[in-house]
Amino acid sequence: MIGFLRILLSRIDYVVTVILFCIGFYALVVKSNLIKKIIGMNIVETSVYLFLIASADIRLGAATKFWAHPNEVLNAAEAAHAAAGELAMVNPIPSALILTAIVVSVSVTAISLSLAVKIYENYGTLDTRKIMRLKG
Amino acid sequence: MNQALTQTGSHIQVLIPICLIAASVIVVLIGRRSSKWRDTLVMVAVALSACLSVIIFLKVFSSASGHIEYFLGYGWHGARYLKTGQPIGIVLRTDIFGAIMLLLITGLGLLAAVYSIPYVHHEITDARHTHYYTLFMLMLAGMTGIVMTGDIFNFYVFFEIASLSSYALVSITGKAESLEATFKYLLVGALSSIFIVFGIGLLFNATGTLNMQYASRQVTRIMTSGPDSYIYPFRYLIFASLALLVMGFSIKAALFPGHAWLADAHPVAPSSISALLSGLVIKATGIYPLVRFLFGVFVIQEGHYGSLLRPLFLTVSIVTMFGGSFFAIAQTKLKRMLAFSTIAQVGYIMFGIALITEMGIAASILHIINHAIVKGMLFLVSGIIIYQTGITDIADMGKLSYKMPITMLCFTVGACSMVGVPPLSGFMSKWVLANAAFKAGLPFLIVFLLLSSLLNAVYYFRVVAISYFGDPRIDIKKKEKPPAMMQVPVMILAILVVLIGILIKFPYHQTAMPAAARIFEIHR
Repeated sequence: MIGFLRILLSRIDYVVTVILFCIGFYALVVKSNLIKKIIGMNIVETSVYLFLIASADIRLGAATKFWAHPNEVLNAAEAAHAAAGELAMVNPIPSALILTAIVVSVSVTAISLSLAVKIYENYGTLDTRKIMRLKG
Repeated sequence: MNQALTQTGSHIQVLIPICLIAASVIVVLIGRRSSKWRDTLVMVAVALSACLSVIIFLKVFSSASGHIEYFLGYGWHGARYLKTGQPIGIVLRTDIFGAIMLLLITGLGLLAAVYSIPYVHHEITDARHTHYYTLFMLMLAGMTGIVMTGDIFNFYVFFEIASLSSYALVSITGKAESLEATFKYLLVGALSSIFIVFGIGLLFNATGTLNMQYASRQVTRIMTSGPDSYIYPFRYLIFASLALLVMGFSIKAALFPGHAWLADAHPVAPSSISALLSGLVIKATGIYPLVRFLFGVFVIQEGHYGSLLRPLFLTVSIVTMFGGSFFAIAQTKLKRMLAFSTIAQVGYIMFGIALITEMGIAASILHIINHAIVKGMLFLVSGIIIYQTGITDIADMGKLSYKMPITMLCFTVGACSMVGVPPLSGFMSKWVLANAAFKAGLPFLIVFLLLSSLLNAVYYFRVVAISYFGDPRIDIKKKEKPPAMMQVPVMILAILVVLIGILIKFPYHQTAMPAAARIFEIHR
């Protein structure tokens, strides 16, 4: 039990992303208000992005350099690690990917919000159950 | 020009999406001034991309390795890749399957663009014509990118370009029902793209690369490693990534649990867009990446993990096949019936993939070609019917064939092909599917194919029968002649349907078979 808790605590960022995912997914599926659905979608997206960024992080890792130059000036943390012979670098690619994915999610949010506005203009409500009834 | 560059690829590959994206931006600028120049520009851009994709197709076919590669920003990383096999930059890699899809996308896109020019005036308000063409070309650009790229994240970007523009296109008429359907499509689509980006992230964490070919090599290494090796636990990441990606793509392809959005979204779009959505988008964003990732990246093969996935995929495909057909029988609107029929046909395509044999994939590719052409044509025909008479109900179509003989003849050809009447293309692909099931040692599955074809016959022949022999229920008021720009694309597609059935040797033996063989070879 204690061991399990320790593992959970050592990966607290993953646990948080799972909780966020569940909250978002619940809102996306269960809530009948369109705006709440959009918010749920955004929470799910954020949780996935957080997970991927967290998976790339290394505690006290250095910024990535493609070529390690012998005369490179290191900051204090990097110097300590370098002295211990373990200069760990953070993987930059997931961050770059998530940057692109964030742009995509912003566009999806923009489209869905504008659709919600149009739906409100047409049906006078944002409740999916009422919209279904109006549609007949 | 560098020596290695001329050997491996050409700038044409990257020119196709660039030409479409550039035109889609320029269209916005021109559109306000003159609609004539705007239409010309759209035609030129789409026709140019179609010509270029023919060149790509020929190049891929004539190359000894069966694929061509192009390194974006060619320079040190391309040279490094060729020397060490460890890629860093983005690579476009088109193999035969990609080239077939490319030809379908730009070809059907060109016909739909020609068709759009008179048709948009009927369905869309004038202020939105320019938006329509912009989104139209962006969608085509996204799809051409998807089928040409060899880089996983580059794939994701193109995937989103195609998806986002298709969301907007579904709702472009601005009618109340289309807004509601688009919202459903958008939420489901956003969920699927979350799964996909999650799967891609996990795959990257496991393999450390975003190049499909190199990733497949790493996956093989991880999967064959012993339990005491340090890379052994990475296989759990790969399983998770496989599950997420399959889920994401099967939602986009409208396979069984995630099929509900299609029947709402496809019929409410303008007919030219419905044709592209049903004919191309579900394949370029759903089926094609599914095949590419399953066999090109995760290297699923017969036996081993393949024997675990096969029953799952077969169940999904058969449920999709029957579910789509049963709901299609219940429909009263023509376009909605066609949309449910699309779900059923995706079931067929998945059936071939689910067999996880080379012949099954070849049959699927043949059915992709066949379905893209036939369903594209049927939606375009339904657009002509709406344009000329305003009829959307099947029951109102009594004696319509005598009023618009050529159009309904095309519809009949398409319906026969969908059902599988012998000389037509639909029969050929179903025949090959049945053969593949037989060769895979699952002959009892042919019963499902036959039963499902029977169901197809029920709802397609009902439309044909009503249009020839039914009593006219309403007084059909009809515009005199459909514009040639709408009639000719439909006729071209109808002729293609017949030709593919008769000249089966080229599409199947010389195109689909080698394409399927190359898919299994990608990791070599």
